[in-house]
Amino acid sequence: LGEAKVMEGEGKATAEHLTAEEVLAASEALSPGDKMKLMAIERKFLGGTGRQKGELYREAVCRALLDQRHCPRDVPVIAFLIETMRSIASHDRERQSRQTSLDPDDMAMTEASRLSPGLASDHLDPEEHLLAKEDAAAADTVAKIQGHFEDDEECQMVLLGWAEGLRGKELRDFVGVDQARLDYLGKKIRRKMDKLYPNGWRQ
Amino acid sequence: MSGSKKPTSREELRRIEDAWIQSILEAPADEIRAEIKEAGDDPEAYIALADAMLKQAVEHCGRETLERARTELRAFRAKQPQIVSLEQARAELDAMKREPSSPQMLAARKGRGLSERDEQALLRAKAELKRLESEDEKA
Repeated sequence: LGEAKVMEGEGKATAEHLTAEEVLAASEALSPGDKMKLMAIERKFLGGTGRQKGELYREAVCRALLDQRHCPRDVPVIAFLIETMRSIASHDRERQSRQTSLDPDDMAMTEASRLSPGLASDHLDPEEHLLAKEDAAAADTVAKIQGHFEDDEECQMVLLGWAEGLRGKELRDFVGVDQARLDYLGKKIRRKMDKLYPNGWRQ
Repeated sequence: MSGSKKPTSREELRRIEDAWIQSILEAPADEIRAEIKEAGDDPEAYIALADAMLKQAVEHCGRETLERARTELRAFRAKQPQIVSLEQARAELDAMKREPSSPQMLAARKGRGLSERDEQALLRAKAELKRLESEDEKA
């Protein structure tokens, strides 16, 4: 019995989702270029997870093969794997953050903050407090990213457009450039971000 | 603009990350290859790592699936002999009751005989003994 045979019966064929065998076949069929891009993208999720290179990808494939995550038929497998890696990384960081919040020093800080009048966290429950903390950290990161391009107005405009969720024509109109120029600016931002945040911006 | 409601900073950051990822996916492979080299890494090692991780995932999941099947089989087997042996045990107990010289029956006669509870306990004990014997034979 080969490995594929062992997994027979695990994949639940549905009209909407690929079976485990189909995900495996599609993953094996990825071009070398796609594999390279997939691993380059995986790196952007590694920050704060405590995982090594390749581990998020391996875990993402396992979740699909063990029927814990299902790839919709209308989604390219590479996009499904990227989203699964991002989700695993997010849960890893969440778990680590929860462990940290159980740390006595952190608890003491939380208690001190709770007792301090005038702090925004006074009336927040723990979940809201965490979201507010994450939002403040995100605002800080967005500002830092923008700051790296303070001498480049076009790149700043692209980043602003990205943050608004603009793509294609909307983004071109927003920045006021043609597609070739937009491609160049995108590449410029990517190269700089790769240098500044090789493992993504999350810690 | 995409909407009137101002996105939260988390949403903004997520969208920037989406665009960053999209830009890697849409870029020509040669461009990404050059960028990986520029960062001091080996693009071929990225490809080899992806292949190795996929192989590991298949092996790991194969083992896990096999282990799950083994566990289910063990649980199934553990139940099976007990049911058969209960019938066997009941037959033996009935035979024992018909035989007045049986040590269990002699001991019981000194008191008030086997209660229903004693009888059930004895049945279960015999069934368990049978099951263990059956497992020993299989092993």
